[in-house]
This record gives sequence, C-alpha cells and structure tokens, in this order.
Amino acid sequence: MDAQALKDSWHLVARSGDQVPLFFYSTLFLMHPETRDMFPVSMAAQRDRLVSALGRIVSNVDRVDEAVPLIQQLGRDHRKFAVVAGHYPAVGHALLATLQHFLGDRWTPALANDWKQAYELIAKVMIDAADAASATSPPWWEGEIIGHERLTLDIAVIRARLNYPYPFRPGQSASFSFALRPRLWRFYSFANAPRRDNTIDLHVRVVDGGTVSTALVHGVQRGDILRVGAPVGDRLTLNPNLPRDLLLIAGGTGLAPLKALVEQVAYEGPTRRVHFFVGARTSRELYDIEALTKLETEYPWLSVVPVVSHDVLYRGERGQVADVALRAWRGQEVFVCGSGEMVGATVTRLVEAGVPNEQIHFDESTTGEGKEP
Amino acid sequence: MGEMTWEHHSSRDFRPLTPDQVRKKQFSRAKLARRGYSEEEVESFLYRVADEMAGGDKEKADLRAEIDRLKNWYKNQGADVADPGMGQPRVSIDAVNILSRAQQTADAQIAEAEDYARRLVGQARQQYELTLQEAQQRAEEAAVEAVDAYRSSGVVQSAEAEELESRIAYLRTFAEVTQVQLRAVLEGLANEVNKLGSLPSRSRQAATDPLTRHG
Ligand SMILES: Cc1cc2nc3c(=O)[nH]c(=O)nc-3n(C[C@H](O)[C@H](O)[C@H](O)COP(=O)(O)OP(=O)(O)OC[C@H]3O[C@@H](n4cnc5c(N)ncnc54)[C@H](O)[C@@H]3O)c2cc1C
Ligand code: HEM
Repeated sequence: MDAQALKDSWHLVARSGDQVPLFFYSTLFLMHPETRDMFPVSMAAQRDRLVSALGRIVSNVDRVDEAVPLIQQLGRDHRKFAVVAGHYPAVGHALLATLQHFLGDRWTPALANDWKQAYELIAKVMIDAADAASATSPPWWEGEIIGHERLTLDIAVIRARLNYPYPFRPGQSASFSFALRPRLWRFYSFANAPRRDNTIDLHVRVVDGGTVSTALVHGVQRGDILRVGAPVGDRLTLNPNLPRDLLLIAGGTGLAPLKALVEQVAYEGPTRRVHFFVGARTSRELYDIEALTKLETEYPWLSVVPVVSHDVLYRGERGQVADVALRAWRGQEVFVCGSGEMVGATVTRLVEAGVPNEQIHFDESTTGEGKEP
Repeated sequence: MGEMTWEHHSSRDFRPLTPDQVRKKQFSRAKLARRGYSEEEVESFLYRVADEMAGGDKEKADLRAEIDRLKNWYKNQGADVADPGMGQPRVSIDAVNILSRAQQTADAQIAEAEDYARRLVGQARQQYELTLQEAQQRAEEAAVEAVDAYRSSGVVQSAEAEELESRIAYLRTFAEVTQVQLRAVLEGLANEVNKLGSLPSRSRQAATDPLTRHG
C-alpha cells in the first residue's frame, strides 16, 4: 500500500471543501437508500462529522497502530447510530466513488486498490471492536427523564434513570439524542458520580438558537427518553494514584463534571481537600449554588466559593474566577471546565502564575461547537 | 396426457439442455396420432436448434475468456474487479447532482431558520439582561427612598426595621418591574424556538412557516 499516495490524493480531494461531503452523501443515499435514515435531516457541510474524519483516518493507514485504540472506540461508539457490519461496504462504496469523482484522471486502478484496502482495514478494526463490545454492553442506553428543573432562564438540571448499569467515571461525558431532535447527537457531562440506582444528572445551558440544548431546556419533559452513547473522555477524571488536593475552577455549566469529582471524593476517599470556585457573570447565573453550599456544610474537606464577574451589586467575591482561585493555590491538582473562552483565559492565567502545566486539567465543555472530547 | 407435477417442473429447470441432447432426442410415437408432424421437419428443426445452442455456447465461452483477460489486465494494474461496487460507482452523476441540489436547498432553509432562531433568542436575552438591570436599579432607588421615608416618619427607629423596610421596597419594585415585562415574552419565545427546532423532520409546511413570518 502506498500510504503517501493515499495522503496526497486525500489532500487533493479535500481542497474541494463542502462539495466533498455533499457528493459523498448523495452517492451513499442513492446507492444505499437504507442508510438515509441514520443521518440528520440537515447535512450542512460545515457540521459534517463523518466524511472529513473518514478521509483523514483512512489516508493515515500507515500510522494505524497508534490510532487503533481511537478507531476501536469509534467502532464501539458507532453502535449508538445503529450501525452494523453490513453498513460498512456501503460507506466504502460511497467513499471510493467520491474519490474517483474528485480525482478524475488521477484515479488509477492502483490507487483505487490502495484506498479499498485501507478502508477495509479501518472498517475491520471498527467492526471487531463493535462486536467485542456487544458482548458486554448495549448499543446505547436509554434514560427516562425523571426530573427536569429549570434553575434559570436558560439552564436546566435534568435527572434520568438509565435502563442498564452504566459504568462511567466522574469527569466523563457522553453523547445524547432524543425523539424531539431526531438523529442529532450532542455531548453533555455527567454532574454526578455513578449511583446505585443508575440515575444521572445533566446540567444543560441553552446556546442561543441551539437546536439540541434549547429542546433539552425548554422542550423535553419527565417521561421522555434520552438515548445515551458510551461514556467518553479522560481529561477531567481523577488519577487514583495521585491523591492530591484539588482546586476546581468552573464557569457556567462547566461545573457539572467538577461537581461529579466532588461526589467521587465524597464516596471514595481517600479524602482530599477540595476548593471549588464557581464563576458566573451575574449572581443569577449561579444556578447550582444552593446544592453546592449544602455539600459544603456536609463535608468539612470541601469549600465552595462563588465568584461573580459582571455584577457590581454582588456582595460576595467579585472578579475573574481564575484570579480568585489562584489565591487558594497551594500546589493542588487544578481542574478547569467552562466555555472555550473561559477555559482559555483561565489556563493562561494559571500558567502565568506558575502552576505547572502537568497539574492543569481542562476541557472545553460548554462551547457551542460540540467538539469531540 | 401426463400430469406435470411441481417436482417435475423444478427438477427439469435445474438441468439445462445440451445441444447434443436436443440432437439425439427421441420422441415417443403418439399411438392415436396417425397424422403426426413430419419426422424430417422435426429433425432438421432440432438440428438447427442444436447448432444455435452450440453457437451460443461458443459465444459465451469467448466472452468469458474476454472477461478473464480484462480481469487479469486490471489485476496487473492493481485493481480488484471481483467486487464490482468498489470504485465503480453505479449511480449517474446527474442523479448525484440532483440529490445534492435538493439537499443544499434543504440545508439552506434549515440554516436560515436556525439563524433566525439564534438572533431571536440572542435579542431576547439582551432584552432580559437589560430589564433586570433596570429593575435592579429602580429597586435600589426604591429601597433608599423607603428608608428616607421611614426616617422622616417619626416612628421609633431601629436598624433592623430600617433594613426590613428597605428590603421590602427593593423586592416589591424588582418584582413589579420584571414580572410584567418578562413572563409573556419569554414563554412565547420558548414556544417559537421549539417550533423552529422540530421543523425539518415534521413537514414542509412547518419548515417554511417561520421563514415566511421572518421574511
Ligand atoms: C465533552 C463535552 C461536554 C459537554 N458538556 C456540556 C454540558 O455539561 N452542558 C452543556 O450545556 N453543554 C455541554 N457541551 C456542549 C454541548 O455538547 C452542545 O454543543 C451545546 O448544547 C450546543 O448544542 P446545540 O445543539 O444546542 O447547538 P447547535 O444547534 O449545535 O448550535 C451550535 C452552533 O451554533 C453556533 N453558535 C452557538 N452560539 C452562537 C452564537 N451566540 N452566535 C453565533 N453562533 C453560535 C456554534 O458555533 C455551533 O455551530 C459539551 C460539549 C462537549 C464536547
Ligand atoms: C471506516 C469507517 C468509518 C469511520 C472512520 C467513521 C468515522 C466517523 C466519525 C469520526 C464520526 C463523528 C463522530 C461522532 O459524531 O460521534 C462519524 C459519525 C457518523 N457515522 Fe461514521 N465512520 C465510519 C463508518 C460508518 C458507517 C459504515 C456508517 C453507517 C452508515 C456510519 C454512520 C455514521 C453516522 C450516522 C454518524 C453521525 C453523523 C452526524 O451526526 O452527522 N459511519 N463517523
């Protein structure tokens, strides 16, 4: 297999931009109409999640060894789209037809063969991983909403009970979809540590005009069913071998995964001291502060400090949450979660103040981008 | 007349005739049919059929050889033609283009509706923040006024009562200013946005509705 030829040809094809996924999907749906229903109604190229990844992953087949865990995870995760082994040739056909179309004369039989083999290799890794996973976990979990509370105009706390045991680690997220917004998947973080009754909490904030978040905050009700993919992400999880004290810095609904860490410390120990700084623009946006203050009175090792940036009348701590939190830094592991902007600014401040990089854990969780963890 | 059972029928279908079988076929004489077909005619016809079949077989063999030759040629060029789908799209470019255009139209409509919703909510949120700020300011003023009024009222003064007076005035004014303005707008807005979000999957009518209202 000529890996360089794969990369070069993908590079060429990718130059056609939005036309590429458009052609790919039209071909796929014409040749294999049964796959149409698996994808969202709008296939707007800028939010295409499959084609660019497909080209990138397959054309990097020469480095497949490094990528195997990721590809396996992708294969397991594809079960939530109801993808089965029989669908892979269809996507392979559409991919090759797309390459042929955009490469024109450069599409030689030798190149075709290389792409075919590379695709089949990646597909095999995904299918095998999916098969293996099917022995131990369902393709997706279903969670019945048993609590839905709007704590501010645009933030809701949702509790759902999952139908099967769901092993996840505090700090992780999963992608969710539901009948009101068919086939749209978005990531949300768990705001709790695993519980025996299989319930999970989500904190969802509306993104202006956001398709999924708006429906979760204003549309769904108790009794509605959420479809839940496998848990993902390890950037905000605790290292059990490193039982250091914690400094948690949250912005907006970024407090969800950090609250899960607090619960984990409460359940598991060994007890660490935890300083939890919760940032918001106005005091009205400190949506979960009551629950956190209650935890604070229960646990002597926990201190919760709300910090408000844009509210001159606020009587508590005012300013940027990073600045206030830095005053409490005594060498703890630092966890940051919030909007992309907030995380960026906070991490910069921390580094400037001398917090070592390897002690800063962060994830941009509440941005509208729906980026993969 | 012998009855033709399903079994007979199917087993016969599985065994194709060879030209030789046709050539050597013996017809049993129909006992009562004195005036049968001319044997000569039947025979010469069968020979013709056999010849044509033989010709067909040869053509098939030639074609098969040609296919093998082509397959080998492709294989030597590095292509696998065993799986005809791979790399050999069976759909016409016209069909792909038509579907692509339809998808683009749908995407554009959805994007426009989403953009509309985004601006709608964004503006509402700004309005909301502004209203709250205003309310807060007016409530602060009301609280100060209330304390002034309390002090000049000549009632026995206590710090606690003063604080209470000011808080009540604050809250009353805050609630008055915000409640009236916000409730109606926000509930209506939430409904509007929900309608927008569910548009693509439901019906075309729903899809164009918010747009016409918008435009
Ligand atoms: C690992 C992870 C964890 C997450 N955890 C949470 C969580 O716990 N809670 C939570 O609420 N969210 C969380 N998110 C974000 C969530 O996944 C969604 O991205 C978010 O809810 C928006 O989805 P949506 O469908 O409503 O928006 P979409 O319909 O996808 O709209 C977002 C689109 O609009 C654009 N956009 C957004 N806002 C604006 C604006 N103001 N002006 C112009 N364009 C804009 C974005 O660029 C994007 O293209 C998480 C994301 C990740 C990746
Ligand atoms: C080698 C093969 C494949 C690769 C590398 C691949 C890769 C990806 C990636 C990276 C994503 C985005 C991840 C996410 O949103 O969670 C994705 C999404 C998706 N994939 Fe695949 N995929 C492959 C095969 C398939 C097949 C065979 C199907 C079934 C027809 C399929 C259906 C989907 C669907 C429905 C989505 C969600 C699309 C969306 O929400 O816009 N994929 N794929």
